[in-house]
Amino acid sequence: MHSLLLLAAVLTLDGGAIRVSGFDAAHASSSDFSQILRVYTEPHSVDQPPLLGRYSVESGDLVFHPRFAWQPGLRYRAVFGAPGESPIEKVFEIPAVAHQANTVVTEVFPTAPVLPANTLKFYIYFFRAHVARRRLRSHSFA
Amino acid sequence: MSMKSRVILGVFALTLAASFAFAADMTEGLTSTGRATLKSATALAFGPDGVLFIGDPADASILAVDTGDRAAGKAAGINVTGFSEKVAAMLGTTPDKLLFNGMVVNPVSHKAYIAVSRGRGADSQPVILRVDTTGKIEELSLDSVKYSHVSLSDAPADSTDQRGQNARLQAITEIAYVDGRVFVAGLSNEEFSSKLRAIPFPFAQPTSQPGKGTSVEIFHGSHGRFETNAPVRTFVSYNIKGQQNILAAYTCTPLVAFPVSDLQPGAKVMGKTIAELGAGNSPLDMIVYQQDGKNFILLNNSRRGVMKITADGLDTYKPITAQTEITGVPYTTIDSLKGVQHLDKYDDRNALLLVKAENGSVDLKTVALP
Repeated sequence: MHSLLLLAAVLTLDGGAIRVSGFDAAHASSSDFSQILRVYTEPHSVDQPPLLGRYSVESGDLVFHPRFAWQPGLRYRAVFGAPGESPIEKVFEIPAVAHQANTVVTEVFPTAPVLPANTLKFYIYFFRAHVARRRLRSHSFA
Repeated sequence: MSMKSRVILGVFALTLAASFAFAADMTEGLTSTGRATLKSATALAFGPDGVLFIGDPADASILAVDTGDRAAGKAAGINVTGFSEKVAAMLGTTPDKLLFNGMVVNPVSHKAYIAVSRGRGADSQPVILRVDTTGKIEELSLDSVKYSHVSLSDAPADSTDQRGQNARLQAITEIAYVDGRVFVAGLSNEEFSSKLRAIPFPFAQPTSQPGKGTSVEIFHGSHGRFETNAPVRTFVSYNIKGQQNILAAYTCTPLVAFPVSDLQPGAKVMGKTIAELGAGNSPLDMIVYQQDGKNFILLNNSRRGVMKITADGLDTYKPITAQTEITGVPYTTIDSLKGVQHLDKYDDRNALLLVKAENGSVDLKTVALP
C-alpha cells in the first residue's frame, strides 16, 4: 500500500461501524482487511488482541462491524495502515449513558457501627422507592 | 443355505454393522448445518471427534457443535496472564462485565474452550472462546457449523421469584459426555425438581426433546434433612467397584453417588451420601485422575479452595443418614491453589485453571496435578 493512499484515508464512526473512506478498498484483498484496519478497546496495551468483528466493502469504503455493540462510556482506537507503514490512528469515544438514581437510601437503623450477631431487624428508609412493599417484606438477607 | 449358515451370516452382518456404528464419526450425528444460536452458555463438555456440548439454560437446551478441532496437539500447557483483560478487549468491554461460566479442555488437541457472558443479567450475550497452547484467543464462530440440539421440555419457567431468583438459570448446571450419552444435571419444573438426565447422542431429531429425567433425592448431612430441590452443581462419571456411578457435589457440599443404571426416565432415586465436605460453599468443577497407582478427585469450590479427595474404596463408606459436619471420604485442601474459578484436566499430569490473581485479573494457568 502506498503512503499517499494512506494520507487520503479518513476514519469515521458511522453508526455501529468504523468506516475508512478515501481508500480504494475494492482493490485490496479481503484476507488483508484485518491487517489493514485493526480496532482496539482503550486503554490499549502491546499484547492486547484486537476487537472481534467482520469487515465489508461498502461503496468502495472499508467498513469494520464490531461483533458486539459499542459499550457506552468506552473508547475504541482504530489503526489503519499496512505493515511497515506509519498508520493513521483515531480514537472514538462512545458517550456514556447518564443514569439518574430513582431510588435513594436516606437512612439505615440501627446506626451503631457494630451490630450484635443476633440482630433480627433493621430498617432502611428510601426516598422515591420504586420497589413494591410486598417484595421488600419478603426479601431475606443471608 | 442351511439354517446354521444363515445364523452365522446374520451374526457376521450384525457384528459388521456394530463395528461401523462404533467407528462412525460423531459429527455424523449432527444433523443441521448453518448458524447455531445460543441464548446463554454455561456448562461445557467434549465428546469424540471434536464435538463440543454446550449447556444453554436460558434456552433450556443442549447444543452439540462440530468444532473441527480434532487433530492431536502437543500438551505444551496454556498460560495466559491477564486473560480477563484480553477477553474484555476482544469483546469491546471491561473485565468487570465478564462472567466465565465454564471451561473444558479438548483432550485430543489440548485447546481450552471457555463459555463467557458479555454483560450481566437479561442483556448478557454468550460467547465461546478457544485458546491454544500459544495463548492465542479466538471466538468459536457458530455462524456456519454442523450442529444439533436437544430441548428440555420440563425446565423451570423463565421468570424471577419474589427473591429475584430465576430457577431457569439452573435448568442446566453441569453436563458430561459418557459412552454415547450426555448426562445433564439441573432443575425441572416439578415439585421434586432436582434432575439427572441421560440423553442418548446422536440426539433423536435435529430439535428433539428427551424424556423425563430422573428425580434425585439426597440426605444432606450438614442440613440434617432429605432434599429434592437442590440441583447438582458439578459431577463426574466414576466407576465404583465395577459399577458406573455419577459422583455429584451439591451446595453446602455433600458428595453423593448415584449408580448410572438407576437413572431411568421418570424414576425417583435416592443417592448415597458418602461425604460432607463443608457448609457455606458451592462446588464448581470436578476432575478424576490417577497418581502413583491411586485414584483422586480434584474439586474446586467457591469458598473452600481446591480439595484433593481420596477416590479409592468409595464403596466402603457408610451412607450419611444423620445430621453431621465434615465427615466421610477424606480430603486435603491444596493451599497452593487459591482463587480457582474453573478447572479441567489438561492431561494425565496437569490441570488447567482459570484463576483469579492477587491483582484481580483472571489468568489461565497450567499446573501439575497435586
